[in-house]
Amino acid sequence: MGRHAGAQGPSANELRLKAELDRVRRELCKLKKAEAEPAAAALPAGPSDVEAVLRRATPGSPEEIAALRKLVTELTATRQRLSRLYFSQVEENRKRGRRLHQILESIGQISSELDFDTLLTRITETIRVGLGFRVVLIRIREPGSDRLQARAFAGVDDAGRAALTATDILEKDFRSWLRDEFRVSRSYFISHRNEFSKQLPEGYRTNLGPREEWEWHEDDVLFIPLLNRKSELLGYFSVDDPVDRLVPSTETIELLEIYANHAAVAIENAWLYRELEGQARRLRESGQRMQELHALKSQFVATVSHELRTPLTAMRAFLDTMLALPEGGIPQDRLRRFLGIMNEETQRLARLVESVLDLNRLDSAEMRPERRPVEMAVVAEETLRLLEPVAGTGQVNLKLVNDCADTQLEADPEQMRQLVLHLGSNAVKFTPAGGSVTVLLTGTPDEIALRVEDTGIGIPEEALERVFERFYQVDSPLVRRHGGAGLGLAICKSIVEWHGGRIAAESAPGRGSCFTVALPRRSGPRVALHPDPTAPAASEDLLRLAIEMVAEVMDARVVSLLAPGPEGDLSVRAAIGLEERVMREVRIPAGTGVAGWVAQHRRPLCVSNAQESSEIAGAVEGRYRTRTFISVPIEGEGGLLGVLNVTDPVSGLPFDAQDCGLLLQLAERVGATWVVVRGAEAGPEGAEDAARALRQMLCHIERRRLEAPGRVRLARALAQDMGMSEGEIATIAFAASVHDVGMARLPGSLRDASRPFSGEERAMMERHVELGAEALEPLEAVGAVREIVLSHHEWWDGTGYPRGLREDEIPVGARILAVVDAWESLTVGRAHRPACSEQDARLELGRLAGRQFDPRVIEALDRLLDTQKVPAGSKGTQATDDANAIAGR
Amino acid sequence: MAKGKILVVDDEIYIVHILDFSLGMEGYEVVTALDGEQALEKAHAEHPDLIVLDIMMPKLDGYETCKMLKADPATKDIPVILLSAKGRNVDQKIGFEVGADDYITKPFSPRKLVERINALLGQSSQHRMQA
Repeated sequence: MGRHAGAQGPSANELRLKAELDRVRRELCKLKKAEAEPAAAALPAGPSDVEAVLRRATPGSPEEIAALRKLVTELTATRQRLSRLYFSQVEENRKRGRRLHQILESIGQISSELDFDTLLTRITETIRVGLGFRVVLIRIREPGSDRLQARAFAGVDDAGRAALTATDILEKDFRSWLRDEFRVSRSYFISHRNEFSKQLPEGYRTNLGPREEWEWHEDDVLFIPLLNRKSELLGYFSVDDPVDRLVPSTETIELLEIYANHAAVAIENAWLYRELEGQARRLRESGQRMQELHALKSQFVATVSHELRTPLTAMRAFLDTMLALPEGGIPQDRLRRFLGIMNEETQRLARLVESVLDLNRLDSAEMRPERRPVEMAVVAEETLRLLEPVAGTGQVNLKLVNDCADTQLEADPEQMRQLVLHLGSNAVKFTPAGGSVTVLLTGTPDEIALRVEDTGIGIPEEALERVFERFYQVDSPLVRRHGGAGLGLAICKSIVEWHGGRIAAESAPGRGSCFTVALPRRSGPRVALHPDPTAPAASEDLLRLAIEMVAEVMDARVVSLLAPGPEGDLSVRAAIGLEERVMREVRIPAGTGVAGWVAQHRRPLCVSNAQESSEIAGAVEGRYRTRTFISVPIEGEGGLLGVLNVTDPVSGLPFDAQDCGLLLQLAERVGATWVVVRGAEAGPEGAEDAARALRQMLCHIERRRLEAPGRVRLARALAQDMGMSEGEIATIAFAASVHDVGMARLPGSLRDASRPFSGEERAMMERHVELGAEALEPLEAVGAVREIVLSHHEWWDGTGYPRGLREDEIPVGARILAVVDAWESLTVGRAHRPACSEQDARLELGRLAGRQFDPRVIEALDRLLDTQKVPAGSKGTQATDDANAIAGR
Repeated sequence: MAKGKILVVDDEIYIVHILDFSLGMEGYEVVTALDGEQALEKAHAEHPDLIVLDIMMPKLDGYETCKMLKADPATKDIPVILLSAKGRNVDQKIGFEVGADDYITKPFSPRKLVERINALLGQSSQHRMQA
């Protein structure tokens, strides 16, 4: 500040005022620095006119003193205003500190919260309380899903919750809302003034009453995406009704984002934990199963060794005795008798070994029984003829009565012979001289019944239930003397069960026994249909086929397909393994039970253990025999076609996410085919094509599952490693199980890959990819799988077939499959080329990276191999497909 | 005059046959039983000098039969040889716990059995069997 030097020294009063002035100025500067913007706004605009007066006035003059007084008053006012501002700012900072502290604290809580629903609820509550929004919603995209489902709420009433839960948002829709123009920091604010906000679906509405133009409006939307470290979308928060009625500042949004980051980590942790828990449970269960199997095996070995020792003991004892006697020391008749006994015991031993082998064959899945037309009357007649000499010796009257004009059924002929032989010889064995054994054949349109009745010693009541157990023998000297291995009836039971039939025994001691077998004429599990008179016949066939397919592929005993009626109630249209009564009577109102829930939410539900899942525990209580099931919607173009349910896995192991993915894929195909078949425009030919394709795929998947279970796992692991979405992974995994479906359409001679091909054969061979794509065409509405199948022999450098695509023109799924195929071919070996070591296979694939294969896929494979993550079983079985996956070898 | 009376108990009729023959050749009198209950009856009625007892039998198994024989003052001094297809050590142990005097596992050599019987009864071999 400029001022004149005065003759008179400044008065004490003047000095005091000046000191005050300086202090105020210093403080002003400090405040200015600290709170640049708001402080500047609060300051007087320019230098006060008082200063001009001071510059002119004579020091010490009354003018100057008046001016100084005025200045002091002005400055004091400013100072007061500034210190108010300062304190309010301090207060504001303190508040913000408190909020941050709160957030940090709740983040700590969130990070340690592993139960998913509790976690989400806690997050919404903390946002509501800590950041000042009355309404908070979290939507989550579950891994593998393409939908964002409302999962947690704060400040939403029950009706609102129900409405939000009922409507999912598709991930692709959500992404389309995240335009750059709405972006604030990493969040998106869509103002009610923007036209676009009218395109958003109506969410939860809060009535906020009249609002000023600049206040938060009830149609304003603020999304905070939840992203993980890989920037994958896990879900989002949205907030509404801020307590301060203001559109949130960037700063508040940034706070919300800090929150979102930590919540994303916590959500992923919770998912990981859930997955780990599932794995631990599966491990426990398989451990338990192993123990059970081990115990069974030990018992089996103990029993078998005992049964083997018995005939051996007799033989050894006789041999030993005979050898010890001097020549001629044993009377001739005795010698003959001893030899006879030894002969019998030898046969007994042979029969026992045979039975054990039979049972083992029946047990092992790879020996599935053949199914062809069998004339049961002929089988029974031929088999019983074999028993006639035995019956004659024992003076038992053996006869066959056929009360059925048509005894044809679909079955394994050899097993049918065994069945009759075991039942017949049992009956003859236990019937004393003078008795009779009658074999009676009867039939209904659906079943053939075989009844074997004898007048023998009978079976005590307490033993009846157990006669079908392995090595169970009724304790009686007569039974012991006839010494079977105790396996015959167990074998019969296995055979009958394989054919989907029933076996039962009735008897009373001394009054004979009667064994009844009922075999379905059409083998395999029967699909029961609840006919719809308006549906075309082809659609009934398709449903039957679809259900069979699903049962086979999912290895489940119970499969049902429910379709919605005109009022939205679900009823069973087709099923395997459900009682007739259930089929006729069950009506499920939309939204109730598992199927109703799935129909309403259009979302799959996979339950590993119904009792553990709180979400649906109420819905399933007491309804299901097993605790694991999957229920998925079948979608058509016009909306929901039905719900597909699978339960009671043959393996007894709980279903998991992979099974769920597979079922979804199957449901998609069933849906696509169903639409074709139902459509009037398709005509019978289109329907037939679709059904044929479905059948072909069914056979193929089944075969692939047995031959090369590892390839699907490897394909899945690679896709996962390359960061693909769950949906894409499922599609690739599915393609991996059907991609060589075209091979089935090639002449048989070509499928035998035990020799190199001629040029002409190679050309034919190369057609299999097109044949495969053709085969899948009627099933693939979307065509993603078809594209993969069609392109899995394309080369990265453009020299593959059939279209000569190169690099990124080849669908990524096809690039992955090409590597999977090659890996399998190298490590498993083919008929004309032995398997090579993993190390050599890696070198070979590495050499072809950039030529035949996508280098990124090879890198992913290397990573998996380095971390030992190549799934077990991706090698080891003899594969018979794509013999020339590695070209030129 | 027989060297002694042996009770052979087995539900496998062929084993009974061959022991009847072998022991008969050795100069013993043989009585037979097909299960544990019959064995107890015969032990009381026939006063055998030794009992050859199978373990796995219907009704009353060899262990139980042996225990009851050894608990009864009338039969407790009769030596018992257990005969079983169970060859594990633990089975043998149980055999001795129930009071058996010897234990032979199936499949067995009747000559060995004869030797054991002779030893237990302090008899010498009557017939020299051809090796």
